[in-house]
Amino acid sequence: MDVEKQYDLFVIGGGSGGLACAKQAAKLGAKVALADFVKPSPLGTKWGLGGTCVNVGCIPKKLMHFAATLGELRHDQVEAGWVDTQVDSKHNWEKMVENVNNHIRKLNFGYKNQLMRGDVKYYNKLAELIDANTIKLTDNKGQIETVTAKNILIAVGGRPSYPDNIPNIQKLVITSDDLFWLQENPGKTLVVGASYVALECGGFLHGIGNEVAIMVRSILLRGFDQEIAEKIGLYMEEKGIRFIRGCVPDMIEATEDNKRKVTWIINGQKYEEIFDTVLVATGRVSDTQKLNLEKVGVNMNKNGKILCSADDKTSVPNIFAIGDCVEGRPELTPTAIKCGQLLANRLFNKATELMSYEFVATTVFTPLEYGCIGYSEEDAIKKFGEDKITVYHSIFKPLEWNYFEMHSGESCFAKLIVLNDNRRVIGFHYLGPHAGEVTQGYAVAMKMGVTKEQFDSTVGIHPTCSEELVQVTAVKGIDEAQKEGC
Amino acid sequence: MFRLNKLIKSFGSIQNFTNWENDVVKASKPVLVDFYATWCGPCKRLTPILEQKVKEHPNVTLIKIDIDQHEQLANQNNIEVVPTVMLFQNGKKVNNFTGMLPPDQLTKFFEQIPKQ
Repeated sequence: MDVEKQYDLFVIGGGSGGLACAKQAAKLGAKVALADFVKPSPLGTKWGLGGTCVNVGCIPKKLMHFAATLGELRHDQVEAGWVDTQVDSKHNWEKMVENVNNHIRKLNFGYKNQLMRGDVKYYNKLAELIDANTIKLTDNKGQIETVTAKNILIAVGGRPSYPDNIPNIQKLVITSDDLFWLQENPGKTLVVGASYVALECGGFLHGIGNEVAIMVRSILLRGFDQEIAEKIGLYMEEKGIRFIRGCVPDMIEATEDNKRKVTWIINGQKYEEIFDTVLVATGRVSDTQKLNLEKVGVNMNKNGKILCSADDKTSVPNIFAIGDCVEGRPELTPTAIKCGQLLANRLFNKATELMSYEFVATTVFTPLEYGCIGYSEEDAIKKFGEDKITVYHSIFKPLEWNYFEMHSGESCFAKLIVLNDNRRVIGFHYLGPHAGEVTQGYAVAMKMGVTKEQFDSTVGIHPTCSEELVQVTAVKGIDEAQKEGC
Repeated sequence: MFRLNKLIKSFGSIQNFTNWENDVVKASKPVLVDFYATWCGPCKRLTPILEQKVKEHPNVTLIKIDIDQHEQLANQNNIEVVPTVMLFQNGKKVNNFTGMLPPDQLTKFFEQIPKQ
């Protein structure tokens, strides 16, 4: 006997991927429900509907990064003629955080409304699989209800991970889960990690006037173009951010006045320093532990990331997974959203289109921003061979930087990686202001298979930074990246 | 005596919200319900203006409801935007507006509330 299931689709996780899939499925006429529940961080931080991006990721990050860039502009203001600009004015953390948190709450409310209007039943409860069609839901008071569904989508994302070599570390340090909701300025901060989370957070904390040190075990921005990664680090160092390289914290202890004493070892030499706050950003872990997936037969890798085929199916035919919790997927909001929408189309509208992860543009919002599409130089060499590609590069300085002389003229950089046989641009790299805005449009071109010659035949907008990309002629290994003359 | 009554103006009042049935549905006078959120900038500007207007306007009771504290009530009333202001008479919604109204429109809204 085939018992009628309550829902056509039950989505576990109300983040970028889950919400997008749920809304699209409901639009196509499916009976959809979504469960979202935020387990508080070890320090008790929690938030509403919307997932990592909205609450503890992209949104607050970009707002705080913007706050920091506004501070930097004070020097330019003086040279551009504004009178009475206070270059030493202080930053009010509480005001920034209140505005950021209010905006996030507005978004939480908006998402709840979208679900309501879109006929998606919303459960603010923690979901767990009983079997391939049954979900157990527990609310924050411990009350349990059970629902059934034909299809289940797991979109639970991830949470920050902690190093395992320090006792009680979860109570001694903060992570990105806590940073954006801190009610007080974190003060002198040690950021542990070399990810974009570490560099972005360290970057804006310094930008608003905090003393910041970043402790890096080996390389910066693993997986990104390393030539650019090092330039990002250099720029941050020149701005006054301390990098402590080649080590990890050996010990972290609370002092009597609730600061943090951190010890580390480099070449056998022990170092020790007091910080107000330690922010750990050494990686993220898939949030699948409490879902009961093994019992139901959903295969994961040893890090808890779910194994899926290209059509987002898990090892159980009616259970799907998308977003950060899936092995091999980029940890990005726009890819999760698109993937969720395409999955809904395939499930409920007989569509066949699969998600493509080729030439997805991204941007790192470090103090000097970095936009990229496609292959890093290392990946291009690995895949095609050094003699099969040509790298074009250019060092440039934004026109606006000519007011304030302290702007480093060497730090903005553009790089194109071109495949020799068909002249296709397969790698786009822009290091400079407004990187997100600059990079987006080029992704369209690259998806269409743009060639270097088509880039070159495109007339630049003057005066901009972006025009550098359609004017770069210097070849790496033959020509210097720096233009001579005006 | 009659002349004295005409001279005594009746003022509106601000009431603490306790119960929808009693405070809104069963109220004898017109009830203005201000649905607001603590994170909403326009709400923070509108509420004091409503309080002032109600003091000047006869016969109206103002009730303020924080939608995060009263989620179910907000859902029941289909609140999708804050601020949402609803006018109830004899238990029925007779008028409403969302967002911050410009002064002349706000005045017009209050003028339409029956005085006795």
